[in-house]
Amino acid sequence: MRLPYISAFFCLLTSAAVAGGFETGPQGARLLGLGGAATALAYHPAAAFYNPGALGMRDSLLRISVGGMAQARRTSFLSTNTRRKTFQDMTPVPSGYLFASRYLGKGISAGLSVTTPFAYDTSWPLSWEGRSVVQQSSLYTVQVQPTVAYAISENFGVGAGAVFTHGRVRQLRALGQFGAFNADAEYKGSANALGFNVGIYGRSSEDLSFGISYRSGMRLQVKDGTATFRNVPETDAGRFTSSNQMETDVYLPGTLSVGLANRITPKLNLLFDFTLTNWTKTDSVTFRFANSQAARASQPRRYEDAMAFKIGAEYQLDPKTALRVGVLYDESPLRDEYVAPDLPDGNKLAGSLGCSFAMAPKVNLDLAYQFGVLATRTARDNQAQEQTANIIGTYRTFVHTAAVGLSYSF
Amino acid sequence: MLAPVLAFSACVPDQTEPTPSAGSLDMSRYVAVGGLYSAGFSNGGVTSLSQRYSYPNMLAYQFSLAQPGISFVQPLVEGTAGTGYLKLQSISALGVPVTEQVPAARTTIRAKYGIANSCGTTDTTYLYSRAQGLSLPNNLSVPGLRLTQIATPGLGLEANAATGAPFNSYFERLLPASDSRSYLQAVSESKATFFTAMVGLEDLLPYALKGGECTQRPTTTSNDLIIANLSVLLDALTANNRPGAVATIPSLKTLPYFQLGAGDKVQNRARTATGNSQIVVYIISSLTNEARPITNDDIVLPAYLELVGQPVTYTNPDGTQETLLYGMDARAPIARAQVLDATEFGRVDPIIGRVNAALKTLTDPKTGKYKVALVDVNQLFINVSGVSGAGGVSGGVNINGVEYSGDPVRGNFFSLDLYSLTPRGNGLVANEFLRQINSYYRANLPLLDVNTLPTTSLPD
Repeated sequence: MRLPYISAFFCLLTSAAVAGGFETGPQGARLLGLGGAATALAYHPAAAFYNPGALGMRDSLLRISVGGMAQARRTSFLSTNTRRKTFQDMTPVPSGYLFASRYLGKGISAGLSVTTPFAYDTSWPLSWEGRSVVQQSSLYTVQVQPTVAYAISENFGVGAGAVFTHGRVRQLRALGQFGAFNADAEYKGSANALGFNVGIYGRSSEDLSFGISYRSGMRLQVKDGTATFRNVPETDAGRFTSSNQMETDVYLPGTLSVGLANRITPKLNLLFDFTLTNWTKTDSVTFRFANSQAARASQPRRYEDAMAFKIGAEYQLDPKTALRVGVLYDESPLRDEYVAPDLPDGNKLAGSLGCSFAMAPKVNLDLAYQFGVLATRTARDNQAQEQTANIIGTYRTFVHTAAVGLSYSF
Repeated sequence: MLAPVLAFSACVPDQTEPTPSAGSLDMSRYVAVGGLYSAGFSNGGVTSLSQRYSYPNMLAYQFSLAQPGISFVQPLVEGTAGTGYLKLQSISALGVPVTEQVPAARTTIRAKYGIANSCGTTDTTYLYSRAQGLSLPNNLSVPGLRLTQIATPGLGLEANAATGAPFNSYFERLLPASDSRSYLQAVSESKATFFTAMVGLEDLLPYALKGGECTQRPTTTSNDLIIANLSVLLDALTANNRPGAVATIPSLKTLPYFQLGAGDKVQNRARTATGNSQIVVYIISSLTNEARPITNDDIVLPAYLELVGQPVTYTNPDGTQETLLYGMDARAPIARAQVLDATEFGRVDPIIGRVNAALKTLTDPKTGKYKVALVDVNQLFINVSGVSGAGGVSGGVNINGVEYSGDPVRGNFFSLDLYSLTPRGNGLVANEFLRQINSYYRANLPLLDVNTLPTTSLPD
């Protein structure tokens, strides 16, 4: 084995979950440590997000978990034509999470989750070879989800939540049609969407439990975004007029997850998750604006549904310390023919490590790190499709995710 | 010490850039043979800036990435204005660039009376300042190079400039004074280790650009000589198994010069402008010298498109005067010199097809006589600007997010004269050469990022 691979392997060992498309991966420091295998995980307020059914299982009255996360996707691109290499700029995506749950009595629990499950921030050097395809592209979302769960029995719970999503998108590209090399187009907008989340949770014994949860897909429909054209030469200014009625939409896919948890020993809990993500409705990213025919902006994506497998283990080292390890394999929704620089995705293998320390009675500090490697992707293009922009070359991507948080229960 | 470096490099998704390689090719003396396209002719003229953006010069730069230190000398013209060029004033409503002619810098002008059918006007021959340097430059491309004249001695002899003998002022300036070598001799003596060639178009293009008037008409004899001399030139170029790449030449139907005024377009425009769907546009037939309705194979030259529909005074046989719309009446047809009609077009375009077919046969990897790479520049032109006329296809390519098309000015590909190329157009041609050289000679030469090139080669 060549040295870089060996050290990459250690990188994997010493690090930790990531997800396909523009999913950001596990939400929360504890879940990141588990590689995101959390559908059958009870006694944690993140159940409000992962499986509302599990929220009804209780061993305490109030749980709060809060923290911050950061994800850095690093991609290198090797151009097939010019043989030149370009590194993406480092643009860590900051995010955070807040989970809370409270038992209300009569088997009913209420929960709240604030998460950022979908985000990406791609930033290429402004003068890179594909600058007229994309220079910068980003999506940020925040989801707020009030949840109610009901424990039908001590071993079986159901739950449902309403998901409010706010998202904003931005895209920047150089026009490249003119000698004016600084002429560019920027599209920006934001939108809200509403969805839901349902789940069931059950266990056959103290050792074996399962969960099924479904999160609906939702469409962020931007109606009044802005399209701004800068530095367009005077002769062509009429062809590129800025607009504040830019329309676009982004489909945030629904997911169906099935999870299994097995407490092998009192100290060791093993978790398995299988997730199917309905990416198919993500057809293209198109920016529409009525008054400018000259600046077409459409990037086909034609995503396919994708599966993910997650395995996590949690080991209670001593009453104060818990250690976690997780592995994730996430299939990319992106087909070969649509690999593009705005979000060069690939099948992902990620490993994660995490731990919790009891800092004070009932207060835990959670730490986790995940390292993901995306399969190398090669983009093809069809130059005869003059309205479809792409650049051909090979992408290699590593994803680093770190999380730190506090959880509190009593 | 080493560990953190290793850990860091492993956490960054690195890729290795391949080392540029020319395979087994020796690029130490690359010689380019061709006409206006290879000479860096752009915007109706040659300037030192447009020469810098000639595709052979760009190729030489890419070759130097694999073999550093190779030099490529071009016969740069003097001053910023060079041989004179066109400057954009505006774009007309018809999409035709309105241009201004910037005069040449320091030329000797010799008036010479043209041949019988040159419309009876004085034909002007220029002499440009001699290229620097004693030996022949690497870029031997000469605007106006005719395959029919490659073996003609004295083509570059100053004394021939005024006599009416075959003369090429761009070739004259490459040679030492009083040198009567033929182009073929110059090529043979250029000591090339590698060559590119794109020839044949300029035997035919001038006739078409002039609407089939005022220049010598291609004949069966001259056409056969084009094909025969193609082999003669390739024999000289491939002597001693010299490697190289030879390009096909663009069909007239791919050039905006011959697309903008296609018959149907002119007629539809006339009907829209007058609001009369019965309007017929008339031209003077080159066969009968009489007015006839325009067909889609008749091409009104871009410079005269504005005239169509202008009021003209017509005197009836009985002496009464009438105002007619130019071209929209059988009594006011579009003049012969303003149209390349179907007959004239048919004298030119099929010969381009013959040259391209001959090139394909001669360079066929299995059965061809010449073992050199074939670069289908004609296909590139078809992809970019499409093919006009019946059975035509629409063009347009997207290169890394930038659209290239046959649109004048905005298409990034054709310069203001509507047939020669912009620096970006030259870049795309260079990339086509590089692709074929890479595949034919198993080289690994990087292509150009054409979007970094200017969209025009106008000097400031």
